[in-house]
Amino acid sequence: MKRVALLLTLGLLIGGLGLLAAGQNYGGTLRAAMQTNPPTLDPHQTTTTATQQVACHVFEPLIAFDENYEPQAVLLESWEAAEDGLSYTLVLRDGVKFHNGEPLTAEDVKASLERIIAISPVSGYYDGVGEIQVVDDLTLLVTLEKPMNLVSAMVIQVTWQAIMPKEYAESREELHIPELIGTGPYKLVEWKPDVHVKLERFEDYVSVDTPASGFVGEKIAYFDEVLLLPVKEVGSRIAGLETGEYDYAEALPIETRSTIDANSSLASHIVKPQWALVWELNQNEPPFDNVKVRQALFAALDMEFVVSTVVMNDKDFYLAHPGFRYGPWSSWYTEAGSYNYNQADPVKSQQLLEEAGYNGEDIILLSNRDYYWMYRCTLAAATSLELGGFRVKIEFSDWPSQIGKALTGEGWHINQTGWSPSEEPLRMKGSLQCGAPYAYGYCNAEMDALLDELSKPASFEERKEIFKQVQLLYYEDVPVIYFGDIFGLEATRQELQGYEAWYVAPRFWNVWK
Amino acid sequence: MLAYILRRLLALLPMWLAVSFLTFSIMYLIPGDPLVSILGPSASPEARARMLESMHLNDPFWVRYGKWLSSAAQGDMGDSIFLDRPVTQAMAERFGVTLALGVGALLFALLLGLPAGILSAIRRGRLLDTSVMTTALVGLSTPEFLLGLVLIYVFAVELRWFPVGGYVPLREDFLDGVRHLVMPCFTLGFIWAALVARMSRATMLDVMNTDYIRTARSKGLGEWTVVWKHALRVAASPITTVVGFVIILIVSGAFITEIVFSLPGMGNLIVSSVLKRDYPVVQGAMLFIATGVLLINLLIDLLYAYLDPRIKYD
Repeated sequence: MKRVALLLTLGLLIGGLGLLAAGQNYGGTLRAAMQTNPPTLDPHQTTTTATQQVACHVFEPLIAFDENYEPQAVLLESWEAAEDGLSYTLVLRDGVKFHNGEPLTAEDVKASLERIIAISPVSGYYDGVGEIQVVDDLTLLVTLEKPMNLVSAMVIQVTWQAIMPKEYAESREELHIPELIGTGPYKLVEWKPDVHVKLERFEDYVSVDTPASGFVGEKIAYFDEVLLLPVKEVGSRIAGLETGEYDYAEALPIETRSTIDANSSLASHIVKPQWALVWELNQNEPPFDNVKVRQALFAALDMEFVVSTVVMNDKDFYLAHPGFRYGPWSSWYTEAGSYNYNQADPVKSQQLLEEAGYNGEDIILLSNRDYYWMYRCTLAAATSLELGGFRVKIEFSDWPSQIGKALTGEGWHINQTGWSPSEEPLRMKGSLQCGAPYAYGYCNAEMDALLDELSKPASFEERKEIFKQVQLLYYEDVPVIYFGDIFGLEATRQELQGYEAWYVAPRFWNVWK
Repeated sequence: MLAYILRRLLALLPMWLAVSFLTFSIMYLIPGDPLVSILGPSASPEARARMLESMHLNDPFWVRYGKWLSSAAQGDMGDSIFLDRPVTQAMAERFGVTLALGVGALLFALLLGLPAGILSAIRRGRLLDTSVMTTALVGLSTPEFLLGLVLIYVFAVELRWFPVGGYVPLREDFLDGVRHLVMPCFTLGFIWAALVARMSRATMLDVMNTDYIRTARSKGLGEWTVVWKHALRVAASPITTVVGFVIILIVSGAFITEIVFSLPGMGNLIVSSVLKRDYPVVQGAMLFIATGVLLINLLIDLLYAYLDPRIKYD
C-alpha cells in the first residue's frame, strides 16, 4: 500500500513537472512597475495613457485593432452599414458576461455609447450619431445624421470605447470601484493611489475564438492577480526588475537597453511605434498665419537629425519617414509628396522668409522637460530654425503649464508635443479641421472637404486615396510639423513568458510565469 | 509659562493666516490646470468647460479662498480632484508613512550625528575629527536622490539585503516593514546627521573652551564627566535648535526620498499633486505641514526652558 502511494505521488509529481515544462502556467501575481498613477480609472473620463493601461484589461470595446491595425470585432458578432450610409446595424456576441455575472445586452451598449457621447473628452468623433436604438437583446440600430464611418470613430482609441453595464453607464459622474465593471479578462479589485491598482482574473471571461492579435482574439488571464505599481523613479523600476521584485517595467531610458540585454535574467522589448514628434503651429497670429513662413519652417528642418538625436542615434528606436502620421508599419503609409520631407535647406528657408516679409520677430517655442523626447526634439530642431533664419525663443515649463498656455492660443508660435499612435486618420480632425481646438487657427476648406470625405463609409482603398490627398495638402500647407516616430523600451524578467510589446498599453493577457 | 504658551499660540494665528493665503494662492500662480491630467491633452473645449464648471474653478479667487479657509479652519480641506476622497483622508492614509520615515531619519541623524560631533570636538585636530568632518562634508554635499540610488544599487540590487522600494505597514509585518524603511531612513538621516555632527562639534568646541569647563578639569574631574555632566548640558540648547531645524529639513527632504523609494507618503502625494494641479491636496498638505512647523518651533522654544534653567518665559 505504501509502495502504491509512493508510486502515485511520484507519478503525480513527474506529471506536474511535465505540465510545468510543457508551457503556460496558471496562477501567481504579476507585478508591473508603471511610471505613474492613473488620474482616474473611469475610461470615459480621460484620454490619459495610465488609465488606458488599466482599462484595456478590464473593459472591452465593440471593435478593436488586430496586430496589422485592421479593425476586428471584439464584443460584436458583426456590423453592417446601410447602403445610404445613414445607419449601422450592430450585432453583439452572445454569452458574454460582465464581471458582476450579468450578460452583455444591447441596452448596456446603448447606454455606454450614449455615455461616451455625453461626457468623453473625445466625444467629437461621434458627431453625426443620431439615435441609438435597441432592436433586440443583441442587436442595435445606430442612425446617423449624415453619412459617417461609425467603425472608424469607434476604433480611434479602443479603450475609450469601454462597454459597461447600463446601470453604471447611465451615470454622468465619475465612476469608481465597484462600479467599474467590464467584460475583460481581468476585473478591477482595488485602487490605492501611489500603492497599486489590483486586478484579478475574471473566471467567467468569454474570449473571442480567434488567435490572439493586437487587441483582439483570444485573451487568457493566466495570472490570478496583476498589480500595477506606480514606481516614478526610473532607476527604481530597473533595480526592482533586476532583483525580481517586478516582472515588468515600462518606459525605460533607451540608454539602458545594453545593460538590460547584458543581464541574462531580463529581456528588453521595443514598443513600436510609441510617440510621433510633432510641432503644433499657432496660426491665430503672425507669422505662422502666412503659409510661406510655415513652408520656410519645413524647409529649414533636418528631420533625420532631429528624430535621431532624440534617441541618441540608436537606429532601433526611431524612424524618420515621409509618411504623415503613419509609418511603414501601417497600411495607411504613403510616400505621396515625400520629396518635401527632410529638406534641411536653410537657404530655401531664408528665401521664403524674405518673400513672406519676416523681420526676425521672436518665434516662441513652448516645450517642457517632463518628457525627455519632447525636450530633446525641441533643442535639436531649434538649431535648424536658427540656421534657417528664424529667431527662436524657447520657453520651458512643466507639461500642464505648457498645455495651459498653449490652450490660450496667445503668446506662442510653436507648441512642442507628441502624438500617440492611432490607426484611424479621423483622429487628425482634432488638429486639422477648421475650428478644431488643436488646429490653433488652421483653416483650409480643401482639408475640411477631404476630412469630410474620410468620415464617410467607404472601402479602405477608397479612403486611402483620400488620405494621400490629405498628405499632399499637408506638405503644401504645413498645418503642423510631423518629424517622425520614436519607439520606446520596456523590459521583463525572463520568467515572464508570452509578453510582446505593442502599441499604447502593455498586454498582460496571454502571459505567464 | 502657561501664559507664555497661550501668547505664543495666539501669535501663531496671523502667521497661520498668512501661510494659508500663500499656500492657497501659490498654486493658482502656476500656469496650467488639473484638466490636462484628468481629461488628457486631446480633450475638447466643451469637455474642459464642463469640468471647470463642475470643479468651481471658474469662481472668483476670493470666493474660493473664503470657502476654503472657513472649511480648513474646521478641519475640512475639501476633496482631492484625483483621489476621490477628502484631502484629510488622503493625508491621513499617507501621514503614517512619512512619520515613520521622518522618525527613522531623525533617529539616524541623532544617533550618527550627535556622537560623531561630540567625539570630533573632544578629539579635535586628530584623525577621528578629520574623518568625521570629511564624511559630514560629503554627506551635506550629496543630494538625497543620488545617495538613495547608490544605496539601492549596492544594498538592494547587488547585496539583496533590502528591497528596492515600496512600503509595508509596520502593523501588518513589523520586521518586513522595518526592512523597507531602513534604506530610505538612512538616506534622509545620513545627510542631516552630517549637519548635526558639524553643528554639535562647533557648539561643543565653544563650550569646552569656557572658564567653568577649565575649572571642572582643574578640580580633577574625568574627561567624560566633564563632557557629559557639564559641557553637554550647556551645549544642549543650541544643539536643540539644530535638531529642530533638522526636523524641518527632514520634512522637506522626505519628498524626494519617498519618490526614489516609492513610498506612498505625504511627500509623494504632494509632488504628484503639484504636477497634476490637484489644488485641494497641495493647499491642504502645505497648510498642514506649515502648521506642524510652527508648532515644532514653539515646542523647541519651550524645550529651552527645560534644558537651560537660566531661560525663563513669563
